[in-house]
Amino acid sequence: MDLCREHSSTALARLGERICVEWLLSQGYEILHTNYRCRLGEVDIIAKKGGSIAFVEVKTRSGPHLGAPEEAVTPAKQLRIRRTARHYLSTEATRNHCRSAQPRFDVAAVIVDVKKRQALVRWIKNAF
Amino acid sequence: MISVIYSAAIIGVDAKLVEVQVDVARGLPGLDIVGLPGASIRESKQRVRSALRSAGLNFPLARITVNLAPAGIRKEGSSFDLPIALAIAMASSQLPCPHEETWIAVGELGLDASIRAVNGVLSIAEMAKSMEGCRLLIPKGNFDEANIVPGLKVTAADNLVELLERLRRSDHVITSGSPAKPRTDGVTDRAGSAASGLSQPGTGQDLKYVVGLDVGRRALEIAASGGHNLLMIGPPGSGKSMLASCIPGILPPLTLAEAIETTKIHSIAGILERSRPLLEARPFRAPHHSTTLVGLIGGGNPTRPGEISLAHNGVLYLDELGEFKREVINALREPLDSGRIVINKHLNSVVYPCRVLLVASMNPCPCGYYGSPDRECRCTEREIRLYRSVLSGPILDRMDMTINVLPEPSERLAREAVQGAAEDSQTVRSRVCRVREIQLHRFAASGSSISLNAQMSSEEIRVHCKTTPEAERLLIEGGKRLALTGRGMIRCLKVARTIADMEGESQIQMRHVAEALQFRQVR
Repeated sequence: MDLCREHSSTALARLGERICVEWLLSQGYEILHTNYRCRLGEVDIIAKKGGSIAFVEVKTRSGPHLGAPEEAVTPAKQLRIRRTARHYLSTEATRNHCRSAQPRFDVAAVIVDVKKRQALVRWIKNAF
Repeated sequence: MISVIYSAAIIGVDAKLVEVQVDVARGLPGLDIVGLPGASIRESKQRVRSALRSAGLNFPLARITVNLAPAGIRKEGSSFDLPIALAIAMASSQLPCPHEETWIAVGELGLDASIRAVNGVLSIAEMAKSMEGCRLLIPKGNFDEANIVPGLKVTAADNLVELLERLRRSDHVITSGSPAKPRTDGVTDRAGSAASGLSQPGTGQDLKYVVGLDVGRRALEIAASGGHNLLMIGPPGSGKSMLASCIPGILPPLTLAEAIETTKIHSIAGILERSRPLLEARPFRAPHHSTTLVGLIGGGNPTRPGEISLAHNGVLYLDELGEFKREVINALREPLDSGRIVINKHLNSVVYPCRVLLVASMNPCPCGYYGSPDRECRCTEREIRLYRSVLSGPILDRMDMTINVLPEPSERLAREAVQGAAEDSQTVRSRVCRVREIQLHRFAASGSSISLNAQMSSEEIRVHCKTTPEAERLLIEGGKRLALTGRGMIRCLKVARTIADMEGESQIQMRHVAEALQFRQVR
């Protein structure tokens, strides 16, 4: 997988999100939105497959020193994502024909090894 | 994966088996503890996490759920750290599960993986004793306490690394009560069997330094012999506190059964000295008069035994009784009669034993000199009445003996302080031991489980308190004269029984009743 050399944290986050989008597409998901924002918060990826709609929070780390990426999804963050998702479902869902879809919250933990140009993704379905 | 290990919760003085179930499942990493955990158990999350890492294990990156079953009883204390840590290690396949053995683990973890001593291990050891094929995993600091209960398989360690190593190799199982560490010596099996009973001198003051106060000495000996409550009233400096401080020195040592009962309470309250895992001397508790109701009776959150329970099988000394809050003193009424306290809380009720010898002292009035031979009292009638209002009828009724302590004249003090002619505690103690033995034999012969005259029920009084006709007449007459209640009469009879025992008489004579009645005259 092609990895860039940027080191700043937003660039790392973007990289992780790109990796996840690629993975979702390869799994047959339809990407409805990336970086969906409203004033309640932000959801990294919103994807749809069959009867379910996934709100994905992507956490990326470049090494083990800050702890596992999935540990950083705190209850407060979870609440923000849930609220944003509710807002999304009530405003945008009709347009995307996914009104009846079953919502789901996933966490994707991406660990990027810049030197080896590799990434490891742990996908936690139904994380919260 | 789900793993199970056992631990224990302390309810009252006894331990109750608690199953610690741990589920390590896929999901967002986190640790949830359910099953009515108290605040200190909820905090154990952080300790367990750090301790596992310090011990070189992984804290699994998974959704961990800990359940403390039965979920209906509230659990308190830091002793669940160790079982939670071990169960997490087992559920994440870092420690083999025990076969054919039940592990009961208690211990508090430090962040550095050290295992710290906890309270109530004696109760837990007793619980483990009643179970088949179990092994106790405890902090090394509690080993001596568990060692009191013989025949248990115990593994003790003072850090998690050491414990895990021992569990993997399953060696270092020590059978408790081994003669290699005889910690129970100095405690006799029966009350005051003369020779060994005297090997363990009590603490406190020695009676030989008490000048005069003959009535006080006599009352003290009767109280110690039969377990009767004693109230001393006297002006300041008359020697009430000094007399009271002599009580530990004249009491016989605890029997093994009593020692275990009292040690359990002290262990639960966390006041047991680690260097002395089994109490040898009878407890002597002297709470300050600012003590609250909960402090004296027990209760609070988490529930703790009060001073009266800490004094179980020993002495509760209330100095300056008049300064205690009225409600605090009155709360003593039922426990003094029943020898136990039931504390009802919304989820469970807790029973603490409290068979104590109550000794109290107070001044006769707020200024202290009412009735004193050489000083004038400055109190008004009203002030005195108010001061004595603490002594409600029901409380006075439960005081088997009330004495007035008056200061000895200074000539006698000066003379005898130098010469020291008074009897010493050791001599009195040997007499007390003998009288207690008489009682024990009498009650054992009739098949009752009590050991002191003060504990006799109405049934036992009928059997054991045979009086001469004159003695009976005197009791009836005296009871009428002093307006004694039924309880007062019975208590008086019990004191007379003890006085008769001190003389080795099997039948209560008139002079015994006379002396007992005399202690009932409250001025």
